[in-house]
Amino acid sequence: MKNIGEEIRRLEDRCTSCTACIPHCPTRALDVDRKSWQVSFDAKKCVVCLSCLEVCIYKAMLGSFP
Amino acid sequence: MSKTISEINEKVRSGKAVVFTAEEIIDVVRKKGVPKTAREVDVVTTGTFSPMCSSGAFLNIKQTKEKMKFGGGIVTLNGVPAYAGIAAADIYLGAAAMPEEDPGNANGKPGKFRYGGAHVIQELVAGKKVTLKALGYGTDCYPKKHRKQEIGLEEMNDAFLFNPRNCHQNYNVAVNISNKPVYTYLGKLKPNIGNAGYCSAGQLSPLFNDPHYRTIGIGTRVFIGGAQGYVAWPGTQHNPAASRLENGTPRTPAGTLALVGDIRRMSTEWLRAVSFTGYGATLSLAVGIPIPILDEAVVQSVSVTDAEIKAPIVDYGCFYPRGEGNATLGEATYAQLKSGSIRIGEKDVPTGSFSSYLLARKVAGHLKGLIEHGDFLLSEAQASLPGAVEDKEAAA
Repeated sequence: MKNIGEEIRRLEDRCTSCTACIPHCPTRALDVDRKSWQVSFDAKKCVVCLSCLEVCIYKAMLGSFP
Repeated sequence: MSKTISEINEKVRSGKAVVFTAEEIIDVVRKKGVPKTAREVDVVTTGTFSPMCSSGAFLNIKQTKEKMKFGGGIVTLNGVPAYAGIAAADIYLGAAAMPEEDPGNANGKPGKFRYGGAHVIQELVAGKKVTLKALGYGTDCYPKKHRKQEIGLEEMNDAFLFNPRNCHQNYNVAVNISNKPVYTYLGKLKPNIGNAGYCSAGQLSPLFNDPHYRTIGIGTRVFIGGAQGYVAWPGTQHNPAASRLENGTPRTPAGTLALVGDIRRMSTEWLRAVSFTGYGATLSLAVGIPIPILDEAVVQSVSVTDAEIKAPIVDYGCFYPRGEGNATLGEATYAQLKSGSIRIGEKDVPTGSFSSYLLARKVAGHLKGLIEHGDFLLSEAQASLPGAVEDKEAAA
């Protein structure tokens, strides 16, 4: 069965790991390693609230509610 | 003991310059102390990658056989209006310019601002063509009144960024005390202080490492968008009189830089268009500035840490837009901001940055490599920025 979060994609070549999305992600599907400052996206934790699509200024998050 | 920029450049040319980033130098100073670091280190590189509001491009478009004067007429690039009131062939494309048909924030809905001046600039830097449309009134020497053409950098004599205000020395941390979300240039702010947005590389940011503008001045060579450019002038809103901490760093927005750089030498690795929902389009840029280690006072300045610099927490729900309520809700250090949460009153508030520390590190590291390989020479400022403290004792 497909995980609901798989509807959302993070385009690594667009993401600058700025972290603007982090406080808007309610499930920490988007998170940052505060040593490397690399942002990661875990589709299994994503509930497709679409908040990240609204706040990402680089349009690095793509997808829609299934 | 002190060094001159000329002496440092000799070492750069011979590939012997000792260079660290503004992040690496913190540990170097901890281990070696200030006097030894001042003797042994030649350059510290700073870096930032973030939206740089107040940016844009001067473009000089090559004439066709029948010539046309843009000045006094109307010019668009991919539908985005450029300012044409300069001369026959020069236009200025602001990063925040939007097509006339863009809905903006119509009907109370936060707009997407998907394509503006910054996006046109990014396409040009990527080597793409854009559609020029121009209407002019025609003169004896410039008779053509209409022009439509696919143009890229090859169809231009000159193309350079001239950014009136970049590299804010410090910036507000934005929160929202109102009971509805607001959309700002520091992102979407949830009601009732639901999150905090900030925008600085902190200890890696250029002007935090030269708080009194001792080495950064008019004429300083900088890394900008992948090219070598220059500080052209103090940036607009440059305010050296801002309140400062004992280490000299400002507690509020203070110094700014007007930067110039050749678009032809830039790359999309270091320059990106951005769209803020509900606010607009602008340009994100990599900027790196080398700091010559002239003496111990400069070492003190470049070894500043995130824990030692502070930003004001400002309400963008009521105070910033309408001047209602309290000017600031406190201060936070960049170490606190970067931890992911700050305390405001009784509340832990999650933080997010619009300045990429990952890429700021990359910029400072890249500039370090350029200097180590003799590919980037430091320049002597030709004039100081307003408020510069040139005396090393006063700066220390």
